[in-house]
Order: sequence, then C-alpha cells, then structure tokens
Amino acid sequence: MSLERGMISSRQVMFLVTNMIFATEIQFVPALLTMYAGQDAWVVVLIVTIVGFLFGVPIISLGLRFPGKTPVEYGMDLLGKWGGRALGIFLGLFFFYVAAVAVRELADHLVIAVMPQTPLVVFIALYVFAIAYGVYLGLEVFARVSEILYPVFLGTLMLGTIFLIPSLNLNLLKPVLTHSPLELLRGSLTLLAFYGEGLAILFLIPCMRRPEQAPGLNMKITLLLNIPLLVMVVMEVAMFGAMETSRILFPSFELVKMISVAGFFERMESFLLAFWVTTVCLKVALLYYTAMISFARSLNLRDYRPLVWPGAVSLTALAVLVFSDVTQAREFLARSWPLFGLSVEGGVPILLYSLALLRKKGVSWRGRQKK
Amino acid sequence: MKRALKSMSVVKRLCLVLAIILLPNICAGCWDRVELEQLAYVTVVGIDRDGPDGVLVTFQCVIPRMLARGQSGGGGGAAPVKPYTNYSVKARNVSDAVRLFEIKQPHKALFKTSTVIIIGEDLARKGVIPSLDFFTRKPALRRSVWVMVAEGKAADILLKGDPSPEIIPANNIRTAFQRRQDVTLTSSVDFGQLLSKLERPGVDPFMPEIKLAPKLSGGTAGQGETSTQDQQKDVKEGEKQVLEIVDFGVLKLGKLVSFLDITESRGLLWLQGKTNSGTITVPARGASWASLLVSSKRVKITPVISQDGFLFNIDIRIEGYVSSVQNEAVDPTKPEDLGRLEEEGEKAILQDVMAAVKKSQEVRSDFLGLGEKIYETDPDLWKEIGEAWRDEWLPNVQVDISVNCKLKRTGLAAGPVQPIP
Repeated sequence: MSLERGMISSRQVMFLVTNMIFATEIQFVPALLTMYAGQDAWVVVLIVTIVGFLFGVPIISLGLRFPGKTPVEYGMDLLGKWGGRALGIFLGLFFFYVAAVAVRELADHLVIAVMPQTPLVVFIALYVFAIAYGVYLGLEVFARVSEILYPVFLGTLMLGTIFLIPSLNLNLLKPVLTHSPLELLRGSLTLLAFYGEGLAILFLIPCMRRPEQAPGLNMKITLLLNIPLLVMVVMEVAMFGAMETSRILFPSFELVKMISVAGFFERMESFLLAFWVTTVCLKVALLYYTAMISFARSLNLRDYRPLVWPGAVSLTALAVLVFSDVTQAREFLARSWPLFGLSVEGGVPILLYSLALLRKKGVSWRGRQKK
Repeated sequence: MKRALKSMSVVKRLCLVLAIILLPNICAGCWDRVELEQLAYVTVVGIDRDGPDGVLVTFQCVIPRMLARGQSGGGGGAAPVKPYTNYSVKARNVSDAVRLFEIKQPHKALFKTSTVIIIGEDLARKGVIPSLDFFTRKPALRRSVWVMVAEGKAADILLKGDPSPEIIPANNIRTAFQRRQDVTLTSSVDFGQLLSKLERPGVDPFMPEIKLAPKLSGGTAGQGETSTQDQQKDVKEGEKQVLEIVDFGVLKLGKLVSFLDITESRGLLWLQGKTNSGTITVPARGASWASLLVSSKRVKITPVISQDGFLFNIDIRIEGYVSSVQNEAVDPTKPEDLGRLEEEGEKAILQDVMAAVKKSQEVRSDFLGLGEKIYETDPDLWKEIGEAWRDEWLPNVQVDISVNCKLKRTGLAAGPVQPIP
C-alpha cells in the first residue's frame, strides 16, 4: 500500500531535488560563503562539489535497499514500530520547519527588496495557499512543473550573467587561497547544510518509475547545482568584491540588477524575482509534501490529503513566527543552520544505513542486480 | 482525470472563472501600488555638509509635464521652460532629508530614475561613507548609479548648472560619460565600484569631479553666437554656467584628500587602462606639434619586494594613430619620423603617469592601487605593513615605468601637405 500512486521519472527527480536546493541556496549562500572565506569562496564550492557527491552515495543506496518504501516505513523495520513512528514525526517536523523557513526567506526578500509596504503575512498566506493546492494535487503535478520551469530558470540566469562579463574585475579574486582551512571548512559546512536538504530524495526514490536510474543521480544533481553556483559566486566577488558581497543581503539579486546592455537592456531583476517566486514555491511544495507523507505514514493514515489544508494553516503561522526580524534570519542561516541542518541531514541516513547493515535488513542494489 | 472534468458542475466552473478573473487583481498589489502622477522623479541627488553634523540634500526632480512642453517649444523665441526643479533640504542625514523632502512637496520620491549622486567637497572631506549608507539600503537604487564629487557645493551645481545642450542636467552628465572614450579626461565611477574599492585592502577610490565653468559662448565673441546671445540678454554675464566634468577627486580611507589636475588625471586613466582613443599632443620637430590618437591596450603592474623597499614595474602598452602633424618636416610615412613620434608619445604618457604617482605619494592616498598589488602577491606581508602602508611605505616606493607606444595608422593621408614652390 502506498500513499502516492503517482510515478515520476528520474529526470523529474533530478530537477525536483536540484530546484529544491538551488532555490534558496542561490539567494543566501554567496553572502555566507564570502563572510567566512572571502574571495576564496569559489574554493569552498569546489570542496562541496566533491563532498556533496560522496554525501549522495549512501543516501541513494539507502533508498535503493528498500524498494517502494519510504524512510518512515523502513524506519519501522529497523527501529521497531514506535521507533519508526517517532522517526517519521521527527523527519516530518524537520521538513516542515525547513519549509517554513524557506517561505519566510522569500517573503522577507519580497518585502525588503520589492514591496516594502506590503505586510509579510499577505505574501506568506498567498504563497502557502498555492503550495498547498499543488501538494494536494499530488507529487506528479509539481514534479512536472519543476521539470519545465527549472531548466528555463537556470538557462535565463546563466544567459543573463553573460552580459555581466565585461564589467567584471577578476583582480578582486586575488590573492588566491589566503584563508585558513578552518575558515574554508566553516564555509563548506554552511553550504553543505543547504545541500543536505536533498535528503528529501529518500521520499522520491520509492515513487520512481525506474529506480535503477537512481545511482547516477547524485552526480547529476551535484553538477547541476554547483556549476551555476560557482559561476554566480565568482561573478559576485569579481563584481562587488568579497567584503561587499558578504554585506549585501541578496547578492545574486544585486548582481542581476547590474545587467545593462547598451543602455536599454536593463532591469532584469524582475525576471529573476519571478523565477525565484516559482522555484521557491516548488521547493516548499516538495518539502511540504515530504513532511505530509512522513506524518501520514507515522499516523498510519491511508491518505495524506486530509492533512494538507490544516498543515497549510500551521505552515503560514510558523513562517510568520519563525523569525522576528531579518537579522535573526541571517544569524540563523549563518550560525545555527549548519549545525542543526547537518546533524539531521547527516545523522538520519547514517543511523538508518548503519542499522540496515548491522541488522542485515533490505537488499543492496548490487546484490539485487546479481540475482 | 477526464471523468473528473466531465462531472464538474456548473457552479464549480463558475467558481473557477471567478477565480481567474479575481486573481489578477491580487497581482497588482494593494499596499505597494504606485500612482505615476504621485511620484517625484529624482534624477540627481546632491549632498552637502551643513553645520557640524548636518547635511544639505538637494533633490533634482524632472517635471514630466514641462518636459513635453520644453521639447516642442525649444527653438522658439519664448523663454525656455526648465523641465526640472530643485528641492534643498537641511536634515540630520540623507534618510531624514528624504522624509523632509516628501513633506515639502506632495509627491513620493522615486530613486529608480536617479543617474548621479553628487557629493559636495566639504562633506567629502569629512567622509563619504556615512551619507552613502542610505543608498546601500534603498531597494530601488541600483549599484550602477554614478557617484561624483563636486568642486565647491553640490547644491550650487544643481541650482546654477545650465544643462544645455540637453534640457535636463542628468542627461547632460549621462552624455558626457557615454562619450568619455573620446576625451581621455575622465571616466565614470559607479556606486558599486566605489564601495568595492572602499572595502578592498590597499586601494583608495577616486571619483570624477564636477564643477561649474564659465559659459564658453559668453566669453569668446565668435561668429554664429548672435542669435543665442540675443536670447540670453536678460541673463547676467557669468551667472549662467555650464557643467564641466573633468579630472578626479581622490579619497583616502573614505575621505576626500585632493583633486587631481589634468596631467595627473590622465596618468590615472592610463594606469586604469580605461582610455579608448584619447588625444595626446606632443612636440614634433621644430616648434610645431603633432597629435596622436591613442588607446591603452594593456597595463601591467608588478611589484618587486626586496629588503630595501618596494619597486613597482609598470608596463603600459599603447596603440594609436597619427591624427595631425602640422609641419611638413615631419613625415609619418618615414619610419624614423614615425619612430620619433612614438618616442614623444611614450615620453608624454610617462610624464602623466609619473605625475599621478607623485601625487599619490604626496597626498598619501593609494588611488592607483599599488598596495592592492602587494596584497594580491603577498597577503602575509600585507598583514604586517597594511596599517602603515599609506603613510609610511607609499611615499617611499620606487616606480619603474616603461611605456610602449605603437602607432599603427596615419589617418586617411600618408604624408603631410607640402606646398611646391
């Protein structure tokens, strides 16, 4: 018995997960990376490319060990019935919290940079309404939307940045590698915490039409994520300088504001914003969906849909209350989030995977192929 | 799914249609709606010092209604209508000034249309950072807005500056920067560049200087002036002044320390590698002059760090062509004469650059970014000397400048015009 009857392709999984990580990462990460690693921020991106790729290996192989089962279900196999339920509730709360933070970040951005007079709660409520509707319709729906929108978003972003190349000052990237390994590590942890949101892929693998395509996904997602991020980080440092980039709240937004070709091809930031609103919407849809599935599984419901609308109300409330101001949000992302995020995103798969190995539950992907 | 669509009742469809009609209304936004008639389009902001800790902020706003009238009736005999107004506000800081400005006149200030921020000399000497902070936080303002420093008060420039031949001063400035390649006298500096230089070790920012100059046509009595002079009879001589953007003001740790003269400004521009066909006039054989139109191709500054101090090898490569020789004794078709012109060009550029370096050492402001080169090559050493760089090390650095000028073309003609006896 499965909660989700829809099936998605491996490409849809790739775009869903990439979109989920990229949507908020691109808004905040360049500022946080330059805060720790200065002009060496691009080195951090390279480190995380390697670490992130390795990080994906156990997660995907864990998902493949238990075909057609969500983490909550095999959590029950591994930790016992009540342990699995507790894990499900915990994971659900985690994703729910991350979803609330993501909604709040976007709403904050809209209020700060675009519509300073509009109350925050209006953005959040309208936004959550759209998301809840998407989640209510099911995984297939927003998976298809992200398959269409994410490549367009990425393509437009990269195309737009080409126009900035003439105004870059690559000298601002020098001196190279002056930051200590400790500073680089702190930067990597911050980036990795965003990257770890990809844990949600565990909930997507059971819905894949062809799970055998999953093993290459970590590579594809890592590259699809980090190449654009690398481009953006290098451009922002070369445009504003490392100090300035760390001071600006939304460096990517400022970067796109600088596009000006021949005096009339300007004000591209509206495009960026439109795409942000949609990609963050898809991100939150996935997180919210994951949370709902976890809750429904743990409570032994036959369908997650009854939870969607009450959950949306709580999500709105949580998003309004989660930070009291923008300084708190930035502080959370810079200091608390790496530890908090990574301990869950790293801890849960490691716990489940080591238990699966110790208790010899499930069949490894290679083992099944041999049969 | 198909079955669901078929069974959709009429009520449900009506609801859907209603939703589609109502949703776009939400898109327009209710809180942040903007009424075009209720906006003051700020084109230039001038900031001056007022008293010990106050500012005098001048907002120059376009009046769209007058703009249309000014254009249609421009050539006629009627008195020209100014399509802009200035509002000067005394306040504690810029943000406070914006509020007072909105009290003074009914419209809401719109900074999206701003082209330039002009900082008065007094305020710049006190420090530019405090008054610029507002602009880093203002959502509508982009970092590509230009910043300039005024000789004297910024308010004077906005109030007295005559925008001709344009009708709005901001457009005048925009045009001046857009054709900056042709003059090699100034270059634009945008807000983002200024900020990134302020926050970079071993480099001080510079800003183009704007000042009022006496009107050219007023002083010289050339022909073709008669018609305009008739028009301006009622204006007192010397009162109406034109905007002139020339030279640079240089900062030290966020405070204006000096203005450069023309030679030093050009030296700075050669080192920036920003010149794109500037004219240099060099002595040719005898008492005559030759003009060369050159643009910088490559600039390389390499620091040599030794026990005794710092030596900077500055390598400038210039390319260009001969634009005028004025004397039949100099024949650009002859390789040796062309070679001599190249040498003279190199000498002239070297003098410009030397002057800039001297000035930098004299005012102890590293606007050429020499310290930045040390920071780039040896960040550990910079940590030790960075604090004292401008005051102790910079005045004593050695500079070795080599200029390589290559004249590639001679314009449309080969040799000079030669009268035949």
